[in-house]
Amino acid sequence: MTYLTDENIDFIYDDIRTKGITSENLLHEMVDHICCMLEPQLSENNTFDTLYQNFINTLHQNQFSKIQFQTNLSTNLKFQNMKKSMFISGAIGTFMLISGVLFKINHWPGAGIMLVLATFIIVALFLPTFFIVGYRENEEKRNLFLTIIGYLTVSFLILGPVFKIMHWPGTDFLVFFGPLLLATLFLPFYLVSVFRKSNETRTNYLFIILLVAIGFSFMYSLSAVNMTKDRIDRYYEAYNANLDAYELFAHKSDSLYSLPDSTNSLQALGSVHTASTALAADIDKLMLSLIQSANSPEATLRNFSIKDDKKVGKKMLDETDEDKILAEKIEDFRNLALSSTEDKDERQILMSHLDFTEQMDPYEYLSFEREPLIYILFQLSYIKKNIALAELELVK
Amino acid sequence: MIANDLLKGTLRTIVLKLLSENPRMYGYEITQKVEELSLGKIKLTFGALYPVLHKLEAEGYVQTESVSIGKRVRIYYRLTPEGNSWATVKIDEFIEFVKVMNYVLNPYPSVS
Repeated sequence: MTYLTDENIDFIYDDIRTKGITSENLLHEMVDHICCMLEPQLSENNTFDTLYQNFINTLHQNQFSKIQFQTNLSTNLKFQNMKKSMFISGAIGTFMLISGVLFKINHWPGAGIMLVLATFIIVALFLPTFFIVGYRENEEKRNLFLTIIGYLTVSFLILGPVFKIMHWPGTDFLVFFGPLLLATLFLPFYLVSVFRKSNETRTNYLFIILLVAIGFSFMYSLSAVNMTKDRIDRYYEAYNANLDAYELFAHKSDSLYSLPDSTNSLQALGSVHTASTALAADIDKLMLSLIQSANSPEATLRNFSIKDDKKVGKKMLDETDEDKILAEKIEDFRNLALSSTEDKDERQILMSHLDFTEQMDPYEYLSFEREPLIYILFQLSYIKKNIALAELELVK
Repeated sequence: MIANDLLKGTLRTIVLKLLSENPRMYGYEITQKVEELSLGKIKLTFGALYPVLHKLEAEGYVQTESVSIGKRVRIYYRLTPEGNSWATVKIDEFIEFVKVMNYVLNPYPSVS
């Protein structure tokens, strides 16, 4: 076997170095490898020059810089650890998110914390590493703009629903700009970048884009669907039952007031009675205005047809601070009721009737934005019923 | 020829197996050995091989030594003690995988 001359070897070193191999060990290896490949073929007819040229022709363009790039990535342990943490945070985040949604649907305690934590893990840990890894693994045609837009789009799409569930401010902004970014910036730019890729990978990416688009449109269309008929009917029944119960309790209190042996303490409850009647009337007025704004001006508390309107609550809150005013009135009434008795048990019963923040999810109590009309009515009628119940407790 | 995407995940195992049977090997030797053992069906390109070798080195499973041969330098790889025990695990794992795949793809072997 003939061996390559020192000049040949120097030539290979220089050539490969200029073609992009920079690290010392890799350079030695590549040269040795190429020498080992060429030497057995050397003969009088096959000179080094032709053999080497033939060999270089079999390689892709940029093959050497690609090898250098890939070696750098795979020996960069920091990058490899980042990739690992990406998978771990992604798995934990997704698991928590799914559990959180499941808890939320079933109204189990802890759903809020899980959702917030899962969102934090996904948006602050998983997504940044995901996009940085994708950016750095891409050897050619890196696109920082697309990476940032991608991160923002996905973050908004995830934060929007979570903010909404948590009733945090900024929901409208996120829910509006998430899909907007997706449709106007991310998808167009991403499609263009995918079409610049080779045919084989292109189909895969297109498939992913399709799935993402289908998934999100489906999700967003679901959020536009109003309550099911079944749930509307159940809330409507409960609302009517609350109105009936109020009348029953109020009537009972009235009859107790008018008993001939009513004592002085009963007389002292006059202020409570006035307050409860006034509050009930306020609630009636509020309910009626909501019903009429969703239906026609002829609609009454007991007779209306559109029950799942989601805009009236928001409209009312935009115009007035009715929710805060009502919350104050309810609190005033509770303090008044509590001040009119010294009995410990009785006070406890009053609190159980009138402390609504205890009975309801604090986020849901008097929070009418985007809630269907019938749900708001149900909540208001429930409050009204309990006011009468508290008064009855005092009169007894 | 074995398709490249099938080889992707198994290249590490192949390299580990060869290194566990030989005290030390260099890159070209590994490609030749693989070709020989696979009856010419697996042709490793250096583009695939060297990133894997360097990754194994960075993770501490192999160590290198440089030997000058005239003008050129040959880099030999050998398994570290840690790499040796890890190789055993990985190879067993892979043999198990091949067995299972065999069951899956060939559930009713013909009785000869």
